[in-house]
Amino acid sequence: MTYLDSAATTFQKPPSVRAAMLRAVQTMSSPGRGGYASARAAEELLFRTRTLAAETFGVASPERVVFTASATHGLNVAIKSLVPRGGRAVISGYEHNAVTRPLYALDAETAVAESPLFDADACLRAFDRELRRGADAAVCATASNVFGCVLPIAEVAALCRRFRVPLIVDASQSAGVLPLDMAALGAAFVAMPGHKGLYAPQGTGLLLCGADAATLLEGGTGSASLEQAMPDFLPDRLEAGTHNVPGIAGLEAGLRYVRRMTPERIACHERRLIRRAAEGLRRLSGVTVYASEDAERQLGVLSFNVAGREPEDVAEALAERGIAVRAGYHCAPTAHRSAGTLPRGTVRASVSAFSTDADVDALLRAMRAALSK
Amino acid sequence: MDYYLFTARSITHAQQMARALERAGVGVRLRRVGGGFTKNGCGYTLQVAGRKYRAAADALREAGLRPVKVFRVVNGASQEVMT
Repeated sequence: MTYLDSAATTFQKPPSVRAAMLRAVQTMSSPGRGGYASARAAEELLFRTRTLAAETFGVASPERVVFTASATHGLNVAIKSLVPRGGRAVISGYEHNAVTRPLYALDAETAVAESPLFDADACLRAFDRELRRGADAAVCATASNVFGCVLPIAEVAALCRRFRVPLIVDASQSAGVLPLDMAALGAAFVAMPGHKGLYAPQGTGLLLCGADAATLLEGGTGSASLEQAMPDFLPDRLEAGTHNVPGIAGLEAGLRYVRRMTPERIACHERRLIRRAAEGLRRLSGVTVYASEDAERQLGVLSFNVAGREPEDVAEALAERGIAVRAGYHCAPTAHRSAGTLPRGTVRASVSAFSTDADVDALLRAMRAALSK
Repeated sequence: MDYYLFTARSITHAQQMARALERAGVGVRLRRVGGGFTKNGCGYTLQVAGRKYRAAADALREAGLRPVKVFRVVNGASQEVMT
């Protein structure tokens, strides 16, 4: 199989991730629940990983690094901490359902700062217009999961600081690829998954907290256990229940892999592959490619369409030829509305540090074959 | 035996303090404790030898870390020395 769906999850993981997870299963029990060796080993793993994440993402203290099950989990905590029922939120035109559905559930007024694809200036003008009207929170992805377009997060953060609107950053598509400094952004929360650009297994994520957080779950934390209220301190406040210790072991190894490779090198590799794919697809008759002329404005995600064919049919034809891509709406109808790709959606190919020129060439060969039928 | 217990609000807080003390050359032992020391249930403390108390307090202050409470333990009897 040629795997080109890394925007959903990076399928190929560094060997160190598998080894760390196996070691955790064999040697670690529940952290924060005992003074014996296997509990201590798990506690040390969690602290090392929090410290590493804090260093990597510019967080003031390891206590402000919270383990989550996914970016969706973290975004739910962040949104529900800041936006009251019936409140107002400003979001970019490229947000995922992980953002829009919690806002819908809160019956919030959701103002979409809509902008055309790859137009950072228009994005900023739209945020400026909506933030002036006030909001309980703003939510902005660092990059679109559908188109890979990089959003001007530093400038959006500056606008949020100017209008005193707390900012929630969804770093799902850029964590491990673009540098991120939470302190410099002044963000209230940053959410990211472990299983994409950080090469951890599914079921892992991080929520970096710069603001007070409300609980989504209540339960045992191994601390202040005579109290019925959840602890008022992080990370315990947001970490009820037993941790995903093997997953966090994989996350630590994944973070170390990314730091060793450096996000800059990974981004450079992924951008080169995406340009190769875009150039090849553009040569095919009837194919529309959604790519930026400025490589810096796009990460390792590329959407395209074929005239007269449904995206799902194209993806199915590719799957029959051993190519794994995703088609449809990618859980982000807001992004498709902004880019004008409704009602059909797109076909999406996405790469990782493990993708190769041969993978891209296999996609192009399969597309040629599929189009010839 | 004379030692001090620096109580922490969480295992993460205790680990942060332990790292700061280790960096300062102060040996510590991380221990779980019950309500007798924390008042509100399970918690964590760092045990520091009596002769290292001043160095430990200075190292934590320099690191910007504050224990929840500090107890002095002499022959098994504990007394809070700072809140």
